[in-house]
Amino acid sequence: MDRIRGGEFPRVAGGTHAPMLLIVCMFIPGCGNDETHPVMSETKSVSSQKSDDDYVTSTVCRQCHQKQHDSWHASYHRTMTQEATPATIQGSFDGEPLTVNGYPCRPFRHDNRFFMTLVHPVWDEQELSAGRDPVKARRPPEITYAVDRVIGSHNQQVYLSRSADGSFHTLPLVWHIHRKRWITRATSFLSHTKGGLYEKTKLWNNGCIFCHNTGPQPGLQQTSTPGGIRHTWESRVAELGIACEACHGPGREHVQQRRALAGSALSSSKPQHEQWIVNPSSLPKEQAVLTCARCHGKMIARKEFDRQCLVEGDFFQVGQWDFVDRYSHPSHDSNAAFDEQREGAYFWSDGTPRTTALEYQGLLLSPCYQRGNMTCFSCHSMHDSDPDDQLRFGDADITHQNRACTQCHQSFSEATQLSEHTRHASSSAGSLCYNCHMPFQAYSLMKRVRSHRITSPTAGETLKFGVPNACNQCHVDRSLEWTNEALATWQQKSAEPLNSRLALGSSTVRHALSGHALQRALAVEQLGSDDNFELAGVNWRGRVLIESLEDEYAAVRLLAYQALQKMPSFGDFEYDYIGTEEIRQTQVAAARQRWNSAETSSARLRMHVILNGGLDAELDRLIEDLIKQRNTVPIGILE
Amino acid sequence: MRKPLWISVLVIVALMVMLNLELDQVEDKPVSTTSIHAQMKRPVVKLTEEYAGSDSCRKCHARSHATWHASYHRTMTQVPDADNVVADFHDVSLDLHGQSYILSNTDDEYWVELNAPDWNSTTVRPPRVKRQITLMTGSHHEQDFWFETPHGRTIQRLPFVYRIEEQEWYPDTSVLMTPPEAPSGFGNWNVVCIQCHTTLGRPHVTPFSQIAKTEVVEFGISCEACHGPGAAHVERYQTRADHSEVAADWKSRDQIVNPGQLDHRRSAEVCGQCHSISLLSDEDSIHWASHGFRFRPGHKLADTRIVVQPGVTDDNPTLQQLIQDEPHYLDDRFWSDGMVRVVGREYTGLIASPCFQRGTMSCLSCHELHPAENDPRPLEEWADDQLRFDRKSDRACLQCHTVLEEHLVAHTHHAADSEGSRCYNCHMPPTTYGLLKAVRSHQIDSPSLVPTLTAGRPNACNLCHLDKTMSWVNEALVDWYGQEPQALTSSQSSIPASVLWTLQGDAGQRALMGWAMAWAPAQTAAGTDWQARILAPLLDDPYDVVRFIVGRSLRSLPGFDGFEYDFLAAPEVRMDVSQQAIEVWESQRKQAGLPVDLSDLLQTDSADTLSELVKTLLRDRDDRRVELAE
Repeated sequence: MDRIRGGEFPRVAGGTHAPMLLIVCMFIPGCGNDETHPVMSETKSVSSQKSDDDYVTSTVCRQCHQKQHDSWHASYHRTMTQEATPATIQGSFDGEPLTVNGYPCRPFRHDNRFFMTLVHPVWDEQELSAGRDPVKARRPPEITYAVDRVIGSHNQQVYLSRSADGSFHTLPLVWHIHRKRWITRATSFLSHTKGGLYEKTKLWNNGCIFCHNTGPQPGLQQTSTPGGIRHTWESRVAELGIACEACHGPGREHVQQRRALAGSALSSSKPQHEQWIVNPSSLPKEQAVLTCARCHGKMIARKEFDRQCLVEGDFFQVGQWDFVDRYSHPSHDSNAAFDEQREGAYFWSDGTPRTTALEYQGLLLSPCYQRGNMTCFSCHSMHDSDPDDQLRFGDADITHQNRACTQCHQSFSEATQLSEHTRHASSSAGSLCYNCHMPFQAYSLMKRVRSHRITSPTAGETLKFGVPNACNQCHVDRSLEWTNEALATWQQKSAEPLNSRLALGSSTVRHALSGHALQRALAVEQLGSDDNFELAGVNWRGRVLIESLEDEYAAVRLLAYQALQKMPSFGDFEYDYIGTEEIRQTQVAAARQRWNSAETSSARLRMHVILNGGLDAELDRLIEDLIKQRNTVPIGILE
Repeated sequence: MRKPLWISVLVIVALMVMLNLELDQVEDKPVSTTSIHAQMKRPVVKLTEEYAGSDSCRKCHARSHATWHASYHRTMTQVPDADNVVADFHDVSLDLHGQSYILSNTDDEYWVELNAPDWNSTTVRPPRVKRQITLMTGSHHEQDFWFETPHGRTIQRLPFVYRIEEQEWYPDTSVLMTPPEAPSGFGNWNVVCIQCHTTLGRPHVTPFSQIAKTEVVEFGISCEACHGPGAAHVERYQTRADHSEVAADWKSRDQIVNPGQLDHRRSAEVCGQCHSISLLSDEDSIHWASHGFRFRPGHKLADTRIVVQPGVTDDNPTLQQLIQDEPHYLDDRFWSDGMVRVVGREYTGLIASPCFQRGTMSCLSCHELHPAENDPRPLEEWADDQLRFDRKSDRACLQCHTVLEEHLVAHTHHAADSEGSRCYNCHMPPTTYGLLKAVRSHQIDSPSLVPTLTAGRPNACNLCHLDKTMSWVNEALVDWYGQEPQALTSSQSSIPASVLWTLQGDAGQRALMGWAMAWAPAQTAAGTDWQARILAPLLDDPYDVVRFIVGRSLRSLPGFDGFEYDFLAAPEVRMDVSQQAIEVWESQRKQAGLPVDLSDLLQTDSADTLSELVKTLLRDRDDRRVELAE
């Protein structure tokens, strides 16, 4: 999910005549989908630390490891990158003209190939820089892109189109799998959108390729031409998607050695240390976590190796740990300046990652890793788990879910000891280890994600660093002061007052109304999370959520809408979070009207309590004040 | 090849002939194989030589039949079908003690999928089985369901109750006054419910074979339950014999009675056969097991029944034996001074009343089972409590106590048009409990602090004047009626009685108080702006029914409409919601400019001392086990 490298504006050859382009596309090398082998170019790249020959691909692994192959085959790792075929495309390419963010778009299918007709990127940019609204143009020039590859199959599907120079670009329309609709790439992120259809579209060959494939070789070619240096790409990968050898290392040696042993007495024995292939779960913890860290720690080649990496191919290879120091990974310390620049893209100011693919950084900060032996495999299993989260212990019940932690913290597998520790009933959500120690402090793919930094909740962290604490994520109606007191009482000491007006009134509601965009997104999703409905009541929430329908960030609007739909009498409420401003205003007005007729007096009184409202403070004014205090720092989460 | 349906039907009919199985006599719908199966898996409707069934009554008594037909007596027990099932069976999944019950229906058939209920093995998990629901109880407040068992006509209870008002399924133990964690009973329809929910039920349950061959004359309480067996009556009038000797013979065999024309004792006994706490002697039990009750309307009930009256029937050997087996028998039904505390046992209350003992009061003094033709009320309205048209007023009492009509206020000391001047509010206060509410006592008595102090039964005065102390009542009763003043403790003198009962009472008292706080007359007398603070701690009461009632009452208070509370939520959630209720109340009081310390009601001077007082009172709560046999 590496989306780090800055995007380059996609410049795709093509005219305004769509049918013409269609024909052109047919003849672009690599556009044909009859290729079954993923290697795209005949040209060998300059030798790097390994060659293509080192990889054997999953087909060969299956010959001996059928079971492991099957479980990998069911995983979203495998389908991370795929050729565009009717079987892999999830988006609707029915040819119906549609409007996305005001732009006319038409995804369509011709035979077994997929295309998107969109406004021309150069024209779009020109219009924007001239201060005109491209959406209002009557007959914008069009361009048709062929869809050659797809990225993703779980949450969103991104489409890639290949250009004549061998570059692949992400197309601006993204298919949101959960909601079954087209959105723009810009609105698929939690970020400040500046407009334009092509915002946040980017080059695949120097970015996505690394973490969404096995054995990536960007194949950057530089040729001197009279006009300057010309860049072309002859990118190749050992296998599309994250396949066996991404985690186990290239398998050529292993296969050869094993074949040589065939028939000998050793063939069925398992060498104590199989030196030709890596089994990540039996590695020492530092190396075990590095296996996943290439991608789930956003490791990138250091500057001095950056170009080499693009030309020669990725140095990172599981088992070849010598090359690890050619990479760096963002951490809060190394990234403070960057974070500031990039609008807090990666970390909360206490160093806790705030998005996904930084699980490694979270783990490194956890005492369970620092002082214990926790690795990714303590909780996850790649071959024996539900593809949805790849959790080892499934989620049958509380004992099951807590098993990841009770492997070490054994005493908490016993109900009485557990509830003595958690101060919640042993069978309740408050006794689920991860609810307190891995709260939803990260955001990615239009939803909240559990923090992978194992911590213990405090009210102070929210006040000081702005990161939502575990307690107030369930107790969404409670204040930080309340949390502070409860935690102190449990530790049998008197609470040190937080002495802040920010500690009064519901912390979650405060974040939803006054926080920055990430705080708002997380808070709004907590308000729509039905696991805390019974605890904190539901009736009052609509009032807050309706305000969030007017958020300037599309993702926050979507989360608010999803939450609002769970409110009584809002189940059938319709709202288009990326509709035009006029449409949205009408819909919000309808929501307010509906709320006014549904609001009960107990909901109103609870809202007073929740906002710590004084005597004559009108709710509307309290809410208005909170919105006025909103932290408008631009946020751009780099997922 | 599939066999045609008629072959299966033929085979089943042949099998039934061989096994001597009978189908309902009155069933005249087209039959399918599953409906034949269902008929064999529930008690069979079978008339006797004596009983003719309600259909034969209709021929001559169409109007009476129609009014009965609109009554909840008729629908007490029914074969479930699409017309009478209110409960939700649309693939409902319910959970109880970690077991799942999946309800479903197709047309007129209702099913439950559950863990095999009679599974003995503790090592092997019970298989899932699908049982047909063959009978249903209730139609007014709730519906209970019974499903087939492998044991003949024995049926077993679905451990969930569907509440009609709330439109919700609840575990049966959660809507009955039972101690927390009480096991859920599967019930025993064939020997218990059958007694009062059918007309002449005959259990035919033999202790040696589990195969019951239970029979009833009619499901539900029909004509002959109250008018006596009608076969001879039908024959008498059908034959129209004018031959005087034959006519005389028919007449002598005609058992039909009109309870309205019996003397008040015999008349009340007709209702008392069910609306009483009564027992059978051993000898009568044996007769009952195969022939049904011996009692016939018009007979003296005491001849065939032991009507339990604490202080009167204490020496009865059958009762003594029963108490030995069931030590709580009396406590589960009576206040400790002998007054009934559960609903549906009105006869037992009535016969202990001076109006019955020294007057001629009967059930029909206030109730009517067939409303008059000129009754302006729709039948549904009448059916709700079956009161006579003018008897939801002082009319019932003024029939005898004529003098009070003129001297009402002098007697009541309340404004004439106020609730305090309604006879039944002082003489029939809501002190019995059942079906998640308080119901008027049917033992007519006068307000007094004595039973309050000795038996814990709330007195009529404090049931309306929730904001008043017992010493306030003490003064009024001494002042107005010359009663003996009672010695009171300091808390009884300083804290409103309702607060004491709500926080310190036993579960039964708490339930009554929870209900009373939403009772319109009490809200008129005592206001509505303070109860929530006292009710809030009960949102985490150990008894499910108390929480249910308190939650419902809370929502009737201003500021609490739509207050979100699930009485079956986990304890920690309930504690939190209880705190939320207090916060809502405080916020509301502040906005109304009222103190949040409740100093206008209690001797408290801050929110903290109030909360301390509530805690102190709660600590002394009467946690004795309460199980009320409604």
